[in-house]
This record gives sequence, C-alpha cells and structure tokens, in this order.
Amino acid sequence: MLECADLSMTYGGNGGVRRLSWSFAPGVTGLLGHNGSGKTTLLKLLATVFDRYDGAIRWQGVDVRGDRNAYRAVMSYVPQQFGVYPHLSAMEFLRYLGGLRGMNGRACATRAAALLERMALGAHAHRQLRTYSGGMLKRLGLCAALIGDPRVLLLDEPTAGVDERERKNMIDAARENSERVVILATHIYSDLAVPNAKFLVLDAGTVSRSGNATELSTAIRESTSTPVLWER
Amino acid sequence: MQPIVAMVAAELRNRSREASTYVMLLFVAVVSALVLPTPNAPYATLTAGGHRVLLASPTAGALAGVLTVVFLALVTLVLLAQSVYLDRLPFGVGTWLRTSPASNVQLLVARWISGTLYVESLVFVCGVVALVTSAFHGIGQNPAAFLRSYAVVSLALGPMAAGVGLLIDNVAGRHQWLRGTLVAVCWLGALALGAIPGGHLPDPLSLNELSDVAAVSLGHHGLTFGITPNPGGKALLWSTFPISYRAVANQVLLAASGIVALLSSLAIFSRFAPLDGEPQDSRRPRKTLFPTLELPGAMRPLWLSRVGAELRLMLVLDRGLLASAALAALGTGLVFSGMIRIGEALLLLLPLVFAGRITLCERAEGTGGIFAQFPAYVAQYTSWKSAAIISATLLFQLPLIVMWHDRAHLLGLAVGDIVLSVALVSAANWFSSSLIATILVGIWWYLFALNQSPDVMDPANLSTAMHPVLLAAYLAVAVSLSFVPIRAERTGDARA
Repeated sequence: MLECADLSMTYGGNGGVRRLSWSFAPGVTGLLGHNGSGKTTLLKLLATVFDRYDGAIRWQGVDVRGDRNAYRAVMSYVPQQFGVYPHLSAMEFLRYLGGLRGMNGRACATRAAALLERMALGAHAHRQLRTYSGGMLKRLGLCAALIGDPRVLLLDEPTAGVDERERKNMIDAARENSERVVILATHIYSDLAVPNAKFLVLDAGTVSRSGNATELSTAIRESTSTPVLWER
Repeated sequence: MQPIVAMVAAELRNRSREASTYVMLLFVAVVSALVLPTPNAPYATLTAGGHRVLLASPTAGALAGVLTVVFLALVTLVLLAQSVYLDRLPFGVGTWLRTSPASNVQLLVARWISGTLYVESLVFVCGVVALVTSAFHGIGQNPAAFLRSYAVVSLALGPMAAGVGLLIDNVAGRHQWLRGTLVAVCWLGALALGAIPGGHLPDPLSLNELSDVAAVSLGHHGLTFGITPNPGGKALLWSTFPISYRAVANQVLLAASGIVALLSSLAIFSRFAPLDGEPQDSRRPRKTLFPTLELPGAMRPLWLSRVGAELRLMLVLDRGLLASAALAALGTGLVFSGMIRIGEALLLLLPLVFAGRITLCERAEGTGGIFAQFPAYVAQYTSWKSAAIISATLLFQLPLIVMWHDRAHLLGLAVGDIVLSVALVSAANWFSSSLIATILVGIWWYLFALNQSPDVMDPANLSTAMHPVLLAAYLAVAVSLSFVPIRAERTGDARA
C-alpha cells in the first residue's frame, strides 16, 4: 500500500499538489485532469524526484524519507519525457538500468529480452536508440520501468503517441503483477478500461472526484461538466 | 558495485560510439604528431657519440607527456565538467539516475571512474602517436624508455581531471558561465603554479654546465661530443630526463588531488537538483547552452538573431581564448613568427569546428530540411549559416588577429574563412550530409598542414611551445562542444 498524507508542494504558490491524502492499493489507478491539475507533480513526488514537500509519503506504512533508496529499489518511474543514451541499443540500455538496480548481468539480459519481446521490440533489441521512433521509445520506457519487477510503477502519460494495439499491450504488461501498485497519469480513458481500475480526477492539486471503472463511464458522459479531458 | 560497473560501462560504451569521440581522438593524434620536434629542428643539440642527448627517448617521452598534459587538461576539464549537467537536461538520463536505488556515492564514483578512463584513453592515443612520430623521426630508439617517461609525466591527468571536472560540475550547477570560468581559472591556475608540467621537466643547463657534465659522463666511455648552437640564439639546453622519485611523487599528488576533488563534490552533490524543464525552473529565465534549440520559426527571416544566438554560445569559449591571449602577452621571449606559423594551420580548423556544430545540427533541428524544400529559401539559409560560421570563426581568431602584424596573412585568413564557410554550407546542402562537408574540410586542412613546418616547436623554450598547444586545446574544446547539441537534438528528434 502506497499512501500520501496531507501531501503538498506548489511552485511558488501556483499549481502543484495541495494537502492531498490518498491510499493507492495494488492494481491500476488512473490520474485524470486538465493540464496543470497536478498529475505530474503528484507522480514526481511519489517518485522521490523532489525532496522538499509537506506531508508524508508512506510505503508499507514507512515514511519513504527515512530510506529513500530502499523505496526506490521497489519503485519505478517513467516520466512523460525521458532521456536515453542514444548510442546504446535497447538491450544495452535495459542492462544498464538493471545494473543500477543491482541485477546481475545474466538475469538482467534474460529479463530484458523477455520485456522487449513483450513490447514488440524484440526485433529491434540491438538497434541504437537514436534510431527509435517516439512510439518505440515510449514502449522502451515501460520496459525500463519493468526491468526490476517493481512493486510501485509510476507512469506519466505512457501511451501518448502509441497506437491502440500497443497501448493495450503496455497497460496489460504494467498490471501483470497483481501485487503491483500502478499509477498512471493519462488523458486517454481507454487506458483505464481494465478490470478493477480506479481513477482520481485532480483539480488544482486536490482530488475532485474518484471512483472505479463503472463510475468512470458516468464521468465520461459528464465530461463536459467535469474537469476531465478525454481522448477517445 | 554492480551499479558502478553498469554506469561506467554504459557511459564508456555510449562515448565510444559518438562521432565526437573519434574527432577528438583524431585531433589529439594530429596534434601529438605535430608537437614533437624533428631531427633537423633549429634548436641547440648536443651531439655525443652520434646521439643527440636532447632527443634521447626518455627526454622525448617526457616532453611529449608534458605537452599531452597541457593540451588535454582544458579539453578534459571542459568535457568532464558538464557530464552531470548534461544528464540533467531533458535529453539526459538524469531522471533514471535520480529515481534509481543507486546511492549518491555510487553515482559520483562511477562518473569519476568513467571520466578517468576516458581521459586515459586520450592520453594513451597521444602517447602512441608521439612514440610512432618520434620513431619516424629517428629519435625513439628505446620505446620502453620513451613510454616509461611519458607515463610518469602524464598518467595522473585522468584521475585529476575527472575529479576536478566533477567538482566544477557540482559547484556550477546549471550556470554555464560559472562552469566556463571555473574551468579557465583552474587550468590557468594550474599552469601558473606549474602544478601540471612542473617538476617533471628536465633541468635546463647552461651551455658550459652541459659541456662539463657531458665531458665527465662521456669521457669514461671514450666518446667525444660537440654542440650545435641554436640558430635562434637561445642558449638553453636540456639534459636527459631522469625519472626521479620527485616526479612519481608529483603524479601521486595530482592523482590524490583528483580524489580529494571527488570527495569534495560528494559533499555538495544533490540528486534533487532540478532537471531542466521542470516547472520550478521557470522562476528564472534559462539561458540555454544550445541556442539552436530556441531559435525562432524556421521560415522567419531573422537570420541576424540566429547569428547572435550562435555567437552567444561562442562567448563561453571566447572568454577562455582571451585569457590565453593575455597569458601569451605576459610571456617573454616568445617567438611570435614561429607561433603564428603553426597557429595559422591550427586556426584553419576553426571553420571545421563551427561548421560541424552548425551544419550537423541542421537535419535534426529540422530547419535544414524545411529550407531544402523551398528553393527560394536556400540563398537565405546559406547566407545566415555562412554568416554564423564566419562570425564565430572571426570571434575566435580575434586575439591572434590583434597580435598579427602581417596584413597579407590577415587578408588571406579572412578570404579563406569566407570561401570555406560558404563552401561548407553549400556542401552540406548539396550532399545532404554534413559529414561529407566536415571530411572535405578535414582533407583540405590536412593538405594545407602538410605545407607547414612543425619546426617552430622549439623545446629549448617551452613557453614558446605552449602557445600553439594552448590554441590546439581551445580548438579541441570547441570541437567537443560542437557535438554536444547533436546528442540533444537527435534524441529529441527520435522522441518526436
């Protein structure tokens, strides 16, 4: 269980997250909301990208500020935009990230190969990343996040620019481990069309609405009057 | 240990596949070949038993080592002083590192090790090329002695440059002006203190002293000796280079200073430093190192502003060059004519540097492609690119131009700049490959350089030899920086 308690962080008084409290259970939770509503900030806070914030983030009941690296060992974060070593191949890049997590070479290579196959990148595993398209890099980002089989997976618009078939494939891969807490910020509601998915609608850094998959349909119908932007 | 190995391997693997690495290796190889004296160089030599003492393997090795250290010091500092910074840019791997379970110590130690190995690879190339060149000139009779003295002089550069570079990186943060200034200060400070080359040089002896020493040492072997005076009138000679405990101790000291710098940077390293592009950065307008990224729309005829943007980048480097010119002005007994002769050849590399930076960015940036689709804009495109290259080139050449009194040379240089710049841009357009353009310039420069005599490198007056090396160092820095945006824009392009 990943919890935030009275979590606040703003940018000079603007935007950000304000006194947000929530418990994220295993399974997929979607973060929805307008641009600037605080989705990315919340993900970055949960990913320990920021060190100054009010409130607390707890993993399994323990404040992550106590031992960030222990929390990072079970958490992966894929930002909206991320960099890669452009001259490494996908396989080499995944082995690098696996190495950062302390995985040994052979286990890492096996896991990387399986993930690349899973994301339909197996045929491109040894191509340099500078030759990858935007969609391929997005899928590689998910492979990178999954290399250490994390318990907490934070994804910021992971499927933007990816075709529909691969979008579904990515979400399925993310939720393969039933123990995993998957939190994804998205504008694409079909990303949440998975069993037991939940959603939060953020507005001005606070939770304005929440619910499960059934209630999501209602929210979509009311989307003209709710602070949710949808892309069908 | 696993995270450190992974980071070092990835860093070096990526570097080994970057074009800039090979440009750098080629460059250090060329400079290494140029800086060694030829057997017929016009400096004083002591002929003893058919051997020139000056050109003995250990002395040549030590001399090459000193020049390597001086040449590479600034280059490596500039390269390594922005490695963490580059990670934190949007195209860098900073996000992965920041949220990884690797500790701060592991992050920095890995960076230090990879920096050290990278510098040592450059040192190795310099050494091998110098050895081959000296053998070609007939002065490297004993490769083992050559390499031993070379290694004793130059090996500590790696750990020191990597450590100091890391420290500067952490102190400067995102302030590129501070980074450039600190690098220049460190380098000039090291030179001024003689910390880098000092203590390793063979002791200069007067003509009479050397005669006495040689008479004693050679007399036992029944050898005779004679002295060929330097036509330039300099009366300094070098004895052979002894590898003393002092030299080894200095190397240990330099390496230790790199480790101290590493430890110091640990104290101020923050993995939470904002990544560029994060909202909190908007409190202060960011002056990007990569002006091409923030240029106005491609179709707007604002080529003057584009040239201005290019020049702003060059100012970072120009500050260093001005410092070099000041250093040169402070020197005494300089052989300006000789310096200019070799400087002229090196300065002709400048268009290559800037053309590489500007034209190689074009396709990734996208404006080149847009312009190519509309023939009416080709002239405009060519003109502002040429203007940018010429302006940047002249800016760099300014300090030497000020010192230059030969107007014929000045005119030739200016005309050469203009012709070369236009040719480069045109070549990049026609061939759709800036690589071809850079190769063309490389060949052109090489043919020109073949006609230059390297005999101006008079080791009897090392301060004279330093100046072309200073210039070479700045050029190499420019080469390195010229390729930085490519990494950015190509990655960005791939993401798009």
